[in-house]
Amino acid sequence: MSATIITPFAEHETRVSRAPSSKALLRVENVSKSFGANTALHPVSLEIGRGEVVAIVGRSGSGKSTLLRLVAGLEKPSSGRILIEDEPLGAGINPRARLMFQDAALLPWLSVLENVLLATPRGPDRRPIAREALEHVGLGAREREWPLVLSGGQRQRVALARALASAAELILFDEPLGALDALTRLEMQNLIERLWLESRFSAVLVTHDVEEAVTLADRVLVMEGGKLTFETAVELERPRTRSGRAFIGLKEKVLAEVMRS
Amino acid sequence: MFLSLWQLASSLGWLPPRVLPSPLSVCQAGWHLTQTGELPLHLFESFRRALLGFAIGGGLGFFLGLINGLSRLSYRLLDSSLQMVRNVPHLALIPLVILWFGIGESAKLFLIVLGVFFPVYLNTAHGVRSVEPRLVEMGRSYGLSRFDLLRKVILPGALPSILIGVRYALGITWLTLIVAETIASDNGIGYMTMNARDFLQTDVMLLGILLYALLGKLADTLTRLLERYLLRWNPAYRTA
Repeated sequence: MSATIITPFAEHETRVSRAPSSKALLRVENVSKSFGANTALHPVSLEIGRGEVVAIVGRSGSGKSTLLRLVAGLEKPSSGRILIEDEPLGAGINPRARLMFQDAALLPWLSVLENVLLATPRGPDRRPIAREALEHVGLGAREREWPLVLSGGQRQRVALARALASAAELILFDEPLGALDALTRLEMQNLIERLWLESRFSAVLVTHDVEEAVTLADRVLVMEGGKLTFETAVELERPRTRSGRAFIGLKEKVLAEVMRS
Repeated sequence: MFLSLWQLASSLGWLPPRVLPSPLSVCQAGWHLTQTGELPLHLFESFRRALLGFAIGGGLGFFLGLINGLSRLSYRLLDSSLQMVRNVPHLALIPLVILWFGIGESAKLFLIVLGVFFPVYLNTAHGVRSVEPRLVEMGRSYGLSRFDLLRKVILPGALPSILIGVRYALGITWLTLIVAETIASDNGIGYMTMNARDFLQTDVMLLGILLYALLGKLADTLTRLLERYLLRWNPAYRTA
């Protein structure tokens, strides 16, 4: 975060989100974050409904990852509060949200299945749940292997299975496909969409890939300089194709917003 | 090849037995001492000393390394004093150690403990500190308890480095053992070797030296096997 991004104006709240469903799963109220003299995030408010996928698009250093880390409970907000189903987030990790990173962050000394088990809630049917999650991402046959022998896309699929098996209500994607090649990225987008259609999880997707955002999200927000500057709903049929006129029009519109700033 | 040349040179009288006895006579000496029960006794004593000293020194090193790797505060408080002690060659302390502990068993153990402590301590602290922060963050975000975080993320992550410390420490154990047993002892391979020197039994001396080499190699092989098993997830260790 460079100093030039900080606006000279008084900090004011940017409210660009509306509640899409009657009861919001996640509510972010006037949350800001500063690291020393640098303001990474100006007061931001947004709501995410149950089963909704919201994408936040922006350049590097726009504060989008900071927002995600705040929601995950990995950082404490400098001001404002975060509520899950009207309950304020406690001091530690948000237990109802799971973060998925750009690198899969698998433990290399645990097998694929053990990595998924790490996130599965304790109970008698732990193993079946973990196996099923692996089955869903198409890696059921490779549960005994070490993560280091898998390809980047496969590792990311294991991370996805881990997030799914964790019974989290909210999955936070932090540029999950950023490190993959273009073809694998398309495959993964289709997989995430298919999984969403099956289980309707709620998700926040932080990305700088506008096409990815429009493909996966119900709502796309643009973040710039620590503020939400633009919002649009994506009312397209699922599963989505990337070729329709409506899709391309929306993509261009969001891209223009990102490039404008 | 090397052995047969050596035997040939001895048999032809090129190598006087006082300088280097033939391998055959070394074997005979070994057999003789085994039958009298002397060799097994010395071996056992040396082995016991090495194991005990290694366990105490390694345990202490591991424990302090873990604490100093995890806690900035403890690192700042303890590390510079420990580094100062580390720079003293532990064998240089022999006169002082004899003064403190006399020439009994505890003096020898103390030297081994001191020698083993530092490689294990340094490598454990380094290993713990260099565990990938992303993995620790992942563990935290998946709600692992502090104990689980230590057991499932930090310790396995630090293991490659810890094992390097262990292998290094094993080498030092043997080295210290030789020196400690030659100074003041009434058993152990070092004593046997020194005793043989006094009676000019070059074959027994050589036997002692060879035994040290063998035991050292054995310990190293065992740790290598352990390494290969524990780090089997890493392709770099699987074939090495």
